[in-house]
Amino acid sequence: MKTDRTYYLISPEVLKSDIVEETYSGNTFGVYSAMTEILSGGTGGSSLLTGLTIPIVFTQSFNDLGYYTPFDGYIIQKDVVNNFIYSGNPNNSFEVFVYNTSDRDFKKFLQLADYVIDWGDGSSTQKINETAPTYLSHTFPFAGDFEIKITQSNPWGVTEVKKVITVPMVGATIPNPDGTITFTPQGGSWAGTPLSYDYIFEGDAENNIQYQISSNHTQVPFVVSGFTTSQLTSLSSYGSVRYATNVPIFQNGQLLGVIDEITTDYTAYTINDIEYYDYPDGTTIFIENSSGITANDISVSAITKQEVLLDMVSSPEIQSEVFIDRGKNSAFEGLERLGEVDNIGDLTRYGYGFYKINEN
Amino acid sequence: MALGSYGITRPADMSPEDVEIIMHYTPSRDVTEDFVLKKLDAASLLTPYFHNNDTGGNTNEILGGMYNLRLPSNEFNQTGIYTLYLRPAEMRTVITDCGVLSALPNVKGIIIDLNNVDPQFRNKFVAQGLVGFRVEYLNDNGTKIPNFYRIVTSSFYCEPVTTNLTNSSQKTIRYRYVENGSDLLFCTLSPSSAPSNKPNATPFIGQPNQDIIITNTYFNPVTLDIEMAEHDIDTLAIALYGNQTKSMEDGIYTLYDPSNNIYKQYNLFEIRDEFNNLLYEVRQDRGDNIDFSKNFNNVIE
Repeated sequence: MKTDRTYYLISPEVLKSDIVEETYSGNTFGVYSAMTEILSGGTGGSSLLTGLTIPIVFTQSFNDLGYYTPFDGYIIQKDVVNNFIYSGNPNNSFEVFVYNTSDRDFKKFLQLADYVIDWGDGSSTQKINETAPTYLSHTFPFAGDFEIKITQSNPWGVTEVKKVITVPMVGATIPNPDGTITFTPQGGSWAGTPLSYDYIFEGDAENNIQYQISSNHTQVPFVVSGFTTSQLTSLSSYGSVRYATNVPIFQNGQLLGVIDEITTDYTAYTINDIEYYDYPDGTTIFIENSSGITANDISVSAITKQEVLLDMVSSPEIQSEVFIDRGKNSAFEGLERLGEVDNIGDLTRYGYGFYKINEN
Repeated sequence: MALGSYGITRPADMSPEDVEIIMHYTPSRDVTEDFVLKKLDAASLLTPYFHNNDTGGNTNEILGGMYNLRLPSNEFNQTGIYTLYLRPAEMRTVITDCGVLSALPNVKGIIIDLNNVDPQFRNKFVAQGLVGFRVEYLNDNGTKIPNFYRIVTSSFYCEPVTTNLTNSSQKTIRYRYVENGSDLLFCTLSPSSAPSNKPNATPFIGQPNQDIIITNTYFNPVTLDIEMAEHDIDTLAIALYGNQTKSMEDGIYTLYDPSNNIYKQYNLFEIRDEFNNLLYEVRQDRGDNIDFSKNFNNVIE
């Protein structure tokens, strides 16, 4: 987003109100006032230039937000190389459960990795051998903020994931998660007295993406009309009378249309519920009713975005595309892709010498 | 596949309420410490131009791009340099929560409570009303995180729901969209997905209770450098090339503009010592004390 800069000079050159009209001996003439006097000669030292305005221009530089894909966000669900989640124990606010969510099942190369957890309270580190749903528990000896760190050691490097927790852990406050139903009896001894009840409506837990769609159709159809070319030949029949009125014409077993009227002034016919009028001068108009975009036209999907097209992708992601493509240049080259690296020799051959291996 | 191009700059047609005007004043270019910095009321100073019969649109249709900016007389009352910075209005609020959608847990976003929004901006906090807005973040100590922002890609009313995870001891809040009747707004941001070479590096979208600044992106910021000057080329030309008269009787020296309006008037006199030796020749500005009898037509009649 750029910032426009414009320079204005406000001086006697562009002002008319700094010339005061005077008359002397029948001669009318103007006398200039000094700018400082004009600028501070009003009430309370304000300017006499009460009508000073300047036209300015605003522009907007825009990017299209209209590129969506339903796959966004799944990256974090599918490609978890090293991550963990934690939860508290409702019976002991000092105890924390940690789940290693690294995706070892689908990323076989992660089976080469070792995981060590540092609880951040000075206690000794622990090795993690399993992933979620198996968990590790730890009871912190005192209250405070602790940084839990999981270190993943791979043949090609070390990654760390850190999360800060506050002990004792407290439950999240849920503002009326069930919803409230209120009803007022119209009769009986409770008549007029509102009663309320927390209630989960049927289907409440369903997040229907129909909620994201606004209505674009009208209840009363409107007319769409214009000029076109004649479609009459599609309603012709075999036989001596090629065009007959009020004779339905079928195509592939479906009603195609019918010629409604043939006069000297026009020929009226209907094809697929669109009315056509052919005139002797060769013009054809069509008339049909539309309700806009109706539910029949809508195919719903989640609104997520394709960040590549939003110019919002951080540079590492772009680099990652190059990173992956490195192994696809030729099927005959003796290189290894990341998922196939499981020894030093593989590392040497990985990606056109991506890693510099020193042999001692 | 067709090839084509499109421009990415359009005339802005935002409301004056969407604009924030910051005024900076300094009496001279070399004064850097003694300056005035304040906010002006854009809604009362900025007026959009509308079409008229000669511009091709309806008279109630905004022209687009062109606005009239009034310089208030109580602020622009000194000579010097005024810098006006017109930028999108800032809406300050706080992140109520960060969460995911109940049925679409891969969709992350921030939740904003409408009760924490300035009432004058609350009309923006509606379904899809914040799309394209920019979110900037403040630290706990009030400083702003520099060079960092996110873009709102969707905003819908929402309400919290509880979700039981696989482990029965885990409970968390997720959110679901509702049509209306909620004070909470779920905003998805971009970027919010991790780079594929470091999937655990989920982009930061904010933290609960974090102060944020939301701004529209309806227009590009504009800077106006307005110099209020005593003299300019025209008035200097008057002094050099304009008509002039010098009254020999009282020594009044008068300068006239091309229309023979009196531009300046001076007293010319000499200062001598007791021996009548000339010490000084003086030209003294008469200021407001203009002798109208020295108007040009009166003199040359």
